[in-house]
Amino acid sequence: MRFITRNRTRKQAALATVLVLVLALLLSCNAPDSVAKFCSSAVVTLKAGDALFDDMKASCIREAQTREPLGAFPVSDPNSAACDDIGKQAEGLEAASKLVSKYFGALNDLASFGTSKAGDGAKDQAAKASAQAKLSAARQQALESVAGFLARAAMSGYQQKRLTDDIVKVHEDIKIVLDGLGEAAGVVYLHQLQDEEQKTATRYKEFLLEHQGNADVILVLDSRWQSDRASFAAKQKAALSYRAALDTLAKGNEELAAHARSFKASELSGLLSPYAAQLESLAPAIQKAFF
Amino acid sequence: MPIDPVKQAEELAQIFFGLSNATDDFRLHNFNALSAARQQQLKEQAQALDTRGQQCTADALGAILQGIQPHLADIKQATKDAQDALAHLNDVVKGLAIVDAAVALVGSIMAGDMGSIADNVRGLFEAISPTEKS
Repeated sequence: MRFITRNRTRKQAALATVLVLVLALLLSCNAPDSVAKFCSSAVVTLKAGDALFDDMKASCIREAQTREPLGAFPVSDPNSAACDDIGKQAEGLEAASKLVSKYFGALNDLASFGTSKAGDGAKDQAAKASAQAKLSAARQQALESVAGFLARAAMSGYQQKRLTDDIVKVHEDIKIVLDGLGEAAGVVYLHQLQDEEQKTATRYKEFLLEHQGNADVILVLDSRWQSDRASFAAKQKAALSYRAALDTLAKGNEELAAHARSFKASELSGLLSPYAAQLESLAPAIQKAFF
Repeated sequence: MPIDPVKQAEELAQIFFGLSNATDDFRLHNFNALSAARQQQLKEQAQALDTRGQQCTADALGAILQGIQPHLADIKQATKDAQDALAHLNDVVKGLAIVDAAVALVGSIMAGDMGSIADNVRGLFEAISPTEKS
């Protein structure tokens, strides 16, 4: 009898040790924290880009306004079919950016989900069960802790699997969309801004030629030009920063997809942190130009 | 080599903007030498070239949009999957199935009941995995 009891206790201990080790390994992979931070930076970056897409049509209209001589004081914007078309395409691109932002937001929410909530629930329920079974205090405590731990581990495993599946499934689609958005802002919009800058300068030069020798006019126009130049420079920098940020985001997402299956917290955190930090440092340059 | 519609439209836009600006530069450099009518004519030509540039800009943006469009459906689906997974986790937290399964598993470990441990491990994973909808 004593042999059977001792044998059972040994089996219990061995089983519990193996189970706890396996689950401890599962729980040590708290990679969702690094994923959540990266995804949250992605959302901020993408949101900052909305102002650039909004400005595409506005830049076209401002550029068309430079065709009016200074002092014409028009009360309505030039009605340009090309600007409307630019606006329509920019809206589509902004919608695509919002969709990607929503994707990273959903990943962030899923990665931020606290599996400890389930653990606490299981602990409470185990406390009730063990009280009913009239277990000893030590056994009661063990039951509560292990039940909480098991529930947490099971949920954490499910959470990580779903995260991994989503990340791996669409990483190439994400890259293509981010590259497209980067090209729209960092190349096409940048050229728009450069053209707008050129036409603004032409308008001032023309006005100056019509009022040759007027020192006051020169001073006023020079001051306005300096202010315009600062605005163009900030917007051009924003467009380039946005493209660089999307590039960083795409690279970080590729790294994430490549390592998603292993999902080791320490490795993943080290891997994603530089990308998240870079995204955070680029966001102000994008926002600054429009606020 | 395949034609890249985005690059082509971008390059055309740049060409038109460049020509428009060159026309403006010519007009301003010869401002006093040109008649008012000639000035106006050159101005209109520069504007027409600029409008072409804007149309090509819209084309470039349209080509980019067209290139990314097919990938948006997959991203939308993955977003929905992640949202569903989160909703499921929230439901699991609210429900008692996972708690019952975890308590049952601990119970069988504590009792050293080898036979029921496997069933209870399965039970725990079933409690977390959403049931397949037919």
